[in-house]
Amino acid sequence: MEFAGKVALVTGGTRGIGLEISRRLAERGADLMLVFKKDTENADKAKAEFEALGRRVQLIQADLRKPAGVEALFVEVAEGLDQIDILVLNAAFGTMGEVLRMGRASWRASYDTNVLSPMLTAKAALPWLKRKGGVITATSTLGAHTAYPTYVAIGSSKAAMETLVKYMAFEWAKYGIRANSVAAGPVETRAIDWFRDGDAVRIFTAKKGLAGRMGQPSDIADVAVWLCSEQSHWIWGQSIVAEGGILCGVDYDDWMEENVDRSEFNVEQGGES
Amino acid sequence: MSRFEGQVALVTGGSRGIGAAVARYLATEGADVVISYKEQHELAAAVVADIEAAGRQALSVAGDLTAPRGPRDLLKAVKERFGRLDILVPAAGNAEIKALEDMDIDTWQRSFAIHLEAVLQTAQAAHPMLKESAGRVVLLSAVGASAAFTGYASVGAAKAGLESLLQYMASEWIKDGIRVNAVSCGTVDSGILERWPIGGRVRTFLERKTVGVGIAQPEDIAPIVAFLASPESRYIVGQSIVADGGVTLGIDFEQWVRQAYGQDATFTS
Repeated sequence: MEFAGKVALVTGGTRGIGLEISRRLAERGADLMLVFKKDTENADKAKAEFEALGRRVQLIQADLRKPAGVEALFVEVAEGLDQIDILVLNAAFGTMGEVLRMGRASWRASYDTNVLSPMLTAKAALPWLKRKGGVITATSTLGAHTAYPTYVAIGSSKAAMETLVKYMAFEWAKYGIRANSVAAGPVETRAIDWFRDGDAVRIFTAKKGLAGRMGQPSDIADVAVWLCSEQSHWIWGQSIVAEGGILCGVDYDDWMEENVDRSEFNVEQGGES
Repeated sequence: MSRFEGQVALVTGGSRGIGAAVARYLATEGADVVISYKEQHELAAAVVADIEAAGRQALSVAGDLTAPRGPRDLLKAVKERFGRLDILVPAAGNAEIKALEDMDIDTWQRSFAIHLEAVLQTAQAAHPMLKESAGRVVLLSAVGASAAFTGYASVGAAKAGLESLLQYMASEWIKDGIRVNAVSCGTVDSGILERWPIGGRVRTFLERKTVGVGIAQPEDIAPIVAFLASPESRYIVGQSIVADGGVTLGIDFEQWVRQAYGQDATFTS
């Protein structure tokens, strides 16, 4: 099997996109260290599922927003499976809100989880990753490439994370460590309902995208796991956008049809009203 | 793995370089493969033999894709033999290295004819069959479209056009269930370096400069093309994925200065 003999450490690996990434890595042979913050029930379920596949699974509860939390995590790594070939930086957090309403504490909380924590985690994982030349894959968001409503704290912090990943690729290439991101379009996780109108996100994604449906965690996990695999070994420091085609093209006709009463603007004649 | 079992792929420029590697790779993963080529009969025959050795059906079609009827005739041959098309990889190309002050209009036009017009016309001719199969198109672009590489202007500019064509094809054909993406390659050791006057220098530069990995072999690119043709990438649309082994990842000031001026270089204004 593709990942047999390898150990993957997945932050936020027990639900949403992280769980689907963990599941695929397990199905394809990897042992797992799953890092979670507080949802013990989901963590236990994931552990049982992957152990049933014959994998070794180590659950590690940690709050990665604080340097002490990251330190504690790697003490457990050293005492546990003591091996990291694949690092999946997936844990994320953010406060929703428009620029005008964004407070310093909310801003910092987003940046702590989405930028500082990946930096500290990857740095701490480096001694293990260096052993055989590992791979780092981070999950990002389309909101880092385009603006979503009320998404500035998450979108901008993920943009910073993608640049961090590029620097890791640049600086650690000499150790044979490959680092990339996958930037996900809207995906059905609990975070969708953090938007003012989660259903609007679902409808938009289903209507505009190629798939004709809301994005699912598996859509992103397939890309992330491919980035962890040898198949992508020529891809270094990139962010792969996977958004189902929702941003592909600007269709004036379609938009006009739905949003504008043409007679109001006299646009049929092409003149000014 | 046979994730392309029952599917038919067309790879233009399939007798050598990236095209040949893609054709072989898709065959090992289950696809029947049509390759088109211009004149290298022996190379094409070798690729066909490899596809058949993988237990798949192969067809090679000789022709000039920059001729007015070239693309249509090619797709007609595909339809007659297989009756379907699932994957289109327009890989035909030929980079002529020339500085802009020496650039003649013929060189320029040849590049746009094969790297852009032939791609458009081949994709247009393939559209009806791709629509029936919810097909995928994987274009081959180059990081030279946005970064200037010595003497690469005629190809780089054409590939920049291709990146834009990618956006239009992807958005217009989404409604037909056709997924269009691209792989943007760095320099690939596809036999082309030997034909370039500066090939030796390019090789030396890339072997020293490339972060992480050496100069790309066509076999390094093939699995990325296959990924973009597979269901695993179903959520990726209209993207150009940079696969350059790290060549354009960053600027290592220190390494550059050491190579140009030696270990003891100091700055004096």
